[in-house]
Amino acid sequence: MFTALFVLLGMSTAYSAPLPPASPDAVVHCAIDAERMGQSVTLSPRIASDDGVMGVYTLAVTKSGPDGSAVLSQGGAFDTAAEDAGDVGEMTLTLEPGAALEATLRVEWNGGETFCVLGA
Amino acid sequence: MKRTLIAASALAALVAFGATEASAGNGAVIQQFGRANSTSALQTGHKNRIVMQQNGRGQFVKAVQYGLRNYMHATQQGNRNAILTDQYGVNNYAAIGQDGKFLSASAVQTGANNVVGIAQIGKGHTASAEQSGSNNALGIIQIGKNQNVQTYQGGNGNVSLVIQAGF
Repeated sequence: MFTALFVLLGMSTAYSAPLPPASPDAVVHCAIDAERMGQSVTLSPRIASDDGVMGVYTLAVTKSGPDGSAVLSQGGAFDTAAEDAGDVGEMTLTLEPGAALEATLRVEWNGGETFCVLGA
Repeated sequence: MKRTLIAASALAALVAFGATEASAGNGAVIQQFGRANSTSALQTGHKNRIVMQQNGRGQFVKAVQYGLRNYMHATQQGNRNAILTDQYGVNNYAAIGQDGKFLSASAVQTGANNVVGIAQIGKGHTASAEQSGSNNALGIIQIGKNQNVQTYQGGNGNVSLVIQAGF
């Protein structure tokens, strides 16, 4: 079963980190791909733009269930113009029956910020 | 899937650590049996290798490595045991195995090519891993009830695998 929840919220937030300038009109899309296999799920952050945009991302995941709880976080740089732009990270965790999961991908670049939310 | 297997390989090391290459650098093997033992180890330099084993209750391990090609393997059997590891450098590799109840494991890695594997069997365990740098891979498996995991990965090439299974 393959699901992907795509939520795009455009926000104009000043960002003071030393990121290279991006076009003022740059639009960055984000998504969290979720591939379910049995009682596990693999989450992959996806960041894309028609413009070459560099920035940083953070993927935060919380899981709670009968077998335990987990708080996972990944973060790093991205470059939508790079050859491997769509491969910035990956998380795999068990999602047993009765477990709940929430994932938030936050993307920041010079001149903007957006985030996506996945709930299961 | 291939990258997830990298994280899984860290867990596999808990089974096959004896097959690692011989080290020409710093080496330490610590074994403790009994109750309320604690041990600490510090290594700096090149090809650091620590192997620690504790069997009993209320055990504590703290190990720190600085340098190039850091390798650490720590196992504990018993209840209310804790392991803390810090590695700073390049090619950090930590494998932690715990069997018992109310166990705690924490691994911190800073540098490049970081790999952490933590396996805990029992109940009421806490595992945490923090990796900063590039090519971060971690695998955590917890078998039992009331388990807790916290992870942080900062840098490039982040892959994490968390398995929690009650019985």
